[in-house]
Amino acid sequence: MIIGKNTPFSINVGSIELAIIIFALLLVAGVCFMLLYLLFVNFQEHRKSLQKEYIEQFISTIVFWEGGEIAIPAKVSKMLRYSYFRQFITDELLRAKRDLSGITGDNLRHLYEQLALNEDSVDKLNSFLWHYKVQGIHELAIMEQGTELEQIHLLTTDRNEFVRKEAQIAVVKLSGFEGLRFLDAIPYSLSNWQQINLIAQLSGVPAMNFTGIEKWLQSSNESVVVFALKLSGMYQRLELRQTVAQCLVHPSMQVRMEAVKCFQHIYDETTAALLIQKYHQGNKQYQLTSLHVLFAIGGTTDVPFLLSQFKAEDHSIKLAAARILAKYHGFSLLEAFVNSGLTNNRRPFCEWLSPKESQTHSDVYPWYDIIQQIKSEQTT
Amino acid sequence: MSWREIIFYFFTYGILIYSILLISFYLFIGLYSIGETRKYIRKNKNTDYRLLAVSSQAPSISILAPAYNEGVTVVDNVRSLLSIHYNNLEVIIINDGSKDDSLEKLIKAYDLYKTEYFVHEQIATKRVRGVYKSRNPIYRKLVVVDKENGGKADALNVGLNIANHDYIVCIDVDCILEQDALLKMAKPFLEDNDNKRVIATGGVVRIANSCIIESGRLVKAHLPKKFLPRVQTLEYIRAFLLGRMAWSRLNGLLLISGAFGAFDKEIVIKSGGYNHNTVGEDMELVVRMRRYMEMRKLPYKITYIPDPLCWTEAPDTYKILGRQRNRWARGTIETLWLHRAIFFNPKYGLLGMLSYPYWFFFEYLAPIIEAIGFIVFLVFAYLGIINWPFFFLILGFILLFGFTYSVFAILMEVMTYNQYKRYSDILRLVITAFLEPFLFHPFVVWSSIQGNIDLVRRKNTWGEMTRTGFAGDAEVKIENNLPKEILYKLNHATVVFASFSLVWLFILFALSTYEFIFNGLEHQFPEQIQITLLQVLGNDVLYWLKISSGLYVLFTAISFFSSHIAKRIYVVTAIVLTVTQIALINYFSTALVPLGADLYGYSIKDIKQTLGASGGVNNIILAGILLGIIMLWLAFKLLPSKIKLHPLVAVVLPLLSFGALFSSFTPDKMLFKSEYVNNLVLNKSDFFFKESFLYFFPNEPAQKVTPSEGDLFAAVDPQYPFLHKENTSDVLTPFFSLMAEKPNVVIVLVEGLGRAFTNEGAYLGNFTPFVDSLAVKSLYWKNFLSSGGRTFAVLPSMMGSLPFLKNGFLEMGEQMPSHLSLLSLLKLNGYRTSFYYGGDSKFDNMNIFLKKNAIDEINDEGTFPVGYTKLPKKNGYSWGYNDKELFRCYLDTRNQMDSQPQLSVLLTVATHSPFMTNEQEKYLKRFEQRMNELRFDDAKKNISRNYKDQYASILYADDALRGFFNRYSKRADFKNTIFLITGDHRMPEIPMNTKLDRYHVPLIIYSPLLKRTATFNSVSTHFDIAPSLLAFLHQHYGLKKPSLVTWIGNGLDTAREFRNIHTYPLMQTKNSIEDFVMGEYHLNGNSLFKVYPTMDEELIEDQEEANRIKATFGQFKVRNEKMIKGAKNLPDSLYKKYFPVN
Repeated sequence: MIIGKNTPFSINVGSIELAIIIFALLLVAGVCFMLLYLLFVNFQEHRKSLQKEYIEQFISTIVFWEGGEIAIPAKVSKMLRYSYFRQFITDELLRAKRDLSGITGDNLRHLYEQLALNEDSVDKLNSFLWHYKVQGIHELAIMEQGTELEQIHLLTTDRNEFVRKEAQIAVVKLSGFEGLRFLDAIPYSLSNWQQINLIAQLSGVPAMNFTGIEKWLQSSNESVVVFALKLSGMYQRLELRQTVAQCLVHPSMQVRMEAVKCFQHIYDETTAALLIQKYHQGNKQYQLTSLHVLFAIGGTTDVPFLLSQFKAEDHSIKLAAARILAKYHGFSLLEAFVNSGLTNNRRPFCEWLSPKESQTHSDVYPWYDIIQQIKSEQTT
Repeated sequence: MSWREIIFYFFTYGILIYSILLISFYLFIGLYSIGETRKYIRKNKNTDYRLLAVSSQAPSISILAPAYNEGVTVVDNVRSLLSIHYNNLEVIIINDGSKDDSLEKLIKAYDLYKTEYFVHEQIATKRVRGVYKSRNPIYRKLVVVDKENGGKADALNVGLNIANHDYIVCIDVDCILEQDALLKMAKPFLEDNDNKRVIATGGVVRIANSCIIESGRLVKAHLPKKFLPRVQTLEYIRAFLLGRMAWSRLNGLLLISGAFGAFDKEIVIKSGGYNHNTVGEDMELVVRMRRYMEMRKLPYKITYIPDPLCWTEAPDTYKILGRQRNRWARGTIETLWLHRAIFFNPKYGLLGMLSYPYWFFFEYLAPIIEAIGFIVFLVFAYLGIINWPFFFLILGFILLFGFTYSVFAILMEVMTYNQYKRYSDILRLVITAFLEPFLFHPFVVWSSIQGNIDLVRRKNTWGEMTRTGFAGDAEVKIENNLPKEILYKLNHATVVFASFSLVWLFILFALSTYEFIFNGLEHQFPEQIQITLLQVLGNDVLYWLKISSGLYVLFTAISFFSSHIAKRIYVVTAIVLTVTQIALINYFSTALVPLGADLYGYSIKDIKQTLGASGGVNNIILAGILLGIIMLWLAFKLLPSKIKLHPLVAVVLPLLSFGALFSSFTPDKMLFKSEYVNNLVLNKSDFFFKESFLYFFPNEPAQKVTPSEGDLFAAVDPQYPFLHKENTSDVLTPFFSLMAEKPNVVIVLVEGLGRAFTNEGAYLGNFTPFVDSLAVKSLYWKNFLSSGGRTFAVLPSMMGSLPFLKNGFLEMGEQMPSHLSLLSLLKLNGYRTSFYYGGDSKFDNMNIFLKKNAIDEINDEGTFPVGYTKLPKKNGYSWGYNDKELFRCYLDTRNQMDSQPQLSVLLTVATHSPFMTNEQEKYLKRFEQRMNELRFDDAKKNISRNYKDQYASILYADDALRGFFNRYSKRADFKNTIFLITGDHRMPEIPMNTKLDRYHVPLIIYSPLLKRTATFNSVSTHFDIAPSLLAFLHQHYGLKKPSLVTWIGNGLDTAREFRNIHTYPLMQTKNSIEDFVMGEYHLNGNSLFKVYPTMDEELIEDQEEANRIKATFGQFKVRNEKMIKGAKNLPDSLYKKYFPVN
């Protein structure tokens, strides 16, 4: 075929034309398939929404079931033949179970076991596909199926990060602090998100003097140390103060910062001095964290240090130091210090407090604004 | 090629290639996004985001929501934001100097008071008039900032200065967030991400039109009822669910929607915050943050959440939509312009090499190219050069592709988040996808073009706000003087380009001078040295100008982004072109003909063999090329800065370049009498590129030539273009006295045996004394022509009188059309057929041809028995067994007592480049001796000595023939054998006098059966041999032969006087059929020559004659073209009937 036929120019398009037609036919086939698939998916969704209503009603009756084996409606028994339905009812049970505990939660667990949905979960646990495995672990954990605990424990160090993470959450959910023993030898990093998850699982477990935390504080895995520091603070493990103090000189800035935060919960009379001593070994973020902790724990008498930070170049540091000074030593100290010559060649501080029209903003910036802000914060 | 043709091809192929690339990218994006979305959904299926809302470990977030004249809705919108369940949160509303009562309403609704607040101004902004907080502890998370109007970016910068938390989430205040939106956005900042710092996270924005919204919350999602918002829904699904997911997977996202995005505050501030001098501040910030991280080599990631998190009202009138798209276009170009240093800059990795170029070519340029395409279409339609069926095919395909892509996006939506569950919604989306290209897309393209125009006109506005800008920012300075800056850049690029180009011109001159001197010393200097040299340099200038036009466009375009990269690209291109020129010069120096598109006619193996055997490439040459590259690089490094040109002078170069490109001026190809000199003066690259272009974009012969009246071939059926009645006369019988038994036929094809140096009257001298002695005892056609300029043509033409098809009949390989030939027809009539060749018969697919002719034996390099000597190797390559051994092998293996008649074809090889024989010294002496015998004067001897190897090989071949005939004459079968001796073409490695010289070979038919000898001055060709021999044998032995044949030739002419009764095409190289002989004329392209009895020729101007010959040539081309397109050569029934069964 020729582009520009019967013209002075022409392009032979035989092969292009053929390619286009082939490609177009593929597209038409693709569109037809997608449209049919759309109908199919839509139909499934519609069916699910009808079933959902029925299942929710059924589950609501189970929640308050008392005594003996739960009576399963014939319709549900019949539908259980289909795997999609079993997954559907499992999902609904999980959704309900997450929000319920006690007898009502137990009823849901009984129903899950009575319908042999736990067998499906075990099958998923043994699947080769990671997302099935993750789903299986999740279901077994939510439904408190401790029988598979050991197998799940083995997966806490799995190469697949999603399997590993779900297994870690599951073992902590199923066995509380005991489940944290995987931290002893975990070669992978624990993300902040994972740490939040683990802490959330532990929140339902009665506080106790769990063991192993000393070891974790000295772990070669930086994220384990950070997590242990969080636990130390949350559970106020005062006896670990020395070990935590050692973390202030850890090579990792994140560990050092977390140690400072931890001290907010396990401090004693020496903590402020310790934090000031280690103050200059960190970056701005570390220093701000230290100042915030000092603000919270108080007890510092190292006024020269705080005044030096009030003079610091960074405005955030200035503000944080001024807050501590104002909180524990009052504004008079700040004003007196400033009057004594904080700002060379400037007017006395008392004049700043009522700046005259002739004064420019740059003369008093930023100390005037900072002190005014802190005053404003204190009055509200 | 005229400039009109160039423009036509440029647009047609340019837009085609662009479309293919664009479609490929869309395909890639569509498919690549699937994996990422699937992984995201599986990964987060069981995620309990609620943990974050109450966790003390959750990252602290400041929501920044700028508001301008939002008085009507601001109170509800803020309430919606405050209802977000997240502990570590502050909500900062920035009132950007609203003219309405927004602030008053907020103060009243939330019991706000003006607080003393120290604003740490990390980013310069407009003045903050006050910071407000609520007295009511319920609203403790709320901070309202009142500031002077400065635009959205400035307002966000104020928010950045005020924000106390580690992460910021920027949203449009009128957006509706999903309840868990913030939680989902926060999560990526807490994840591992392969130890990469997450600096930003983008979220999906969906269209809220027609949705049910109560108390600032989305209660139920509905598909918009109006068409415009609905089509934008589809557009957003495509962009967010496919495009951004794919880019997120590649970690190449350049844009996070300004309506909803989360950022690491520290990096935002370090990068300088939002740029208030662009309307595309959202994209600009992301690009700048990425640049910041890339420059410092900090590992980072920008993630993306495919969940629908944020709902916003879409424009529902064309007016507002147009304004929005106009702004987007301006934002894109401003961002791309500000960060042009990234463009194809490998320092920025994926950002520079993929993300930025993608945005430039397929986001920014797409509407512009589309608009240009449309205008070009209108022009072409007006000119009547549109092939409408093809146009509609392409148009339909593009529409279909767009529709498919949309349906795919809908499918992805349904399979993932399924916001629109009703059947009717899906159906309406599908219909919308169908209507989009007609009702929506053209408007979007138009708005985008308007955006470009407005940008140039500096109409830089956002609604009612007017950006005022800040002084002192270098980037801003450029931005504010864009037209002036463009002029400056253009000027600078032109000057720099001119200096680089001049360096390259000097290099071209140096190369041509070298070529001229080298060839002069190696071969011979032309007679008019000064004029020739001037012509050489003139051709260089012309080539240089033509190439410079393209390079100039490329250079200036890239210079706008990076002058440095433009220079590099120029240097690399110039070096590549120069090395190509060196290689082509080297080829010419060896082959004495310029390399054209015949290069594409050979397989890699063929090229390797030819180059290796000829010694064309060796380590010294490779080292020389390497050294040359280094020297060229140094020249471009050191010299351009020394050339200072005034801009007015510099601008002359591009003007001349475009003039040269668009002018129809072409240098006179036949300026000199000698073909060698005409070739010498050519710029070899210019010739090669021109030939290559014609090879890939051939002119359609049917359109070029109107066939003349009458039918040259008297074809019997249009289905078989060359099939005609066999009416070849038997002209050989009068010369023979035949026996009862069928005679043996031995055809000796001597490589490169040209008439220029063969037999009596050879203008270079008779270097074949034996062949000459044989000629006088034979039937001798002294003005005989080969059909091809190289070996590829000889077998099909001589054995089958077959057409050339596209690149020579042999080039068809296994797809060679069915045909009959001397080989198959004699075999059918009881002959045993054999082929002897010292080299590899796979060369040029000769073996395939022979097998397709049912040959009984192929004897080649691979089948030679032991004990035979090969030609000496050069660079590890040898063409195979030498000619003497070829003949020896033949005589040793053929049974002289065999009663079966024989047809044998022998092809020699020793007279091929590198012209080395096993007795080199002996024949070099013989060459000297022969020159004395021929009484050459010293001058002629000196010239001839430049080609001593060639002549020595010819003498060797002549001697080999002598030995062959001596031995043969002693055999029993000699007396009943007919010998045909001819050259496959004239050896081009000795300079040629004329174009026709390349084809001028002798034909000698010798046999003890001859009853008289004769010399013929009439012209015949290889095409005539098979028809004549068959007619002759048929006459005497009643050979079975078809009454319908496909011969191109109509038989040998035995007229003694000079005449040409034939009309034949001749094919010099594999790429194009340019030569045609008819009567006493020779047509070469558009040049017409008159051929004289000496076979010398002269260029003549006779347009009428030229047109007549072209028309006849057209008849051949039309038929040949039909065959190329798949027409059969002959009917199956005929073929089956006459093709021998093995």
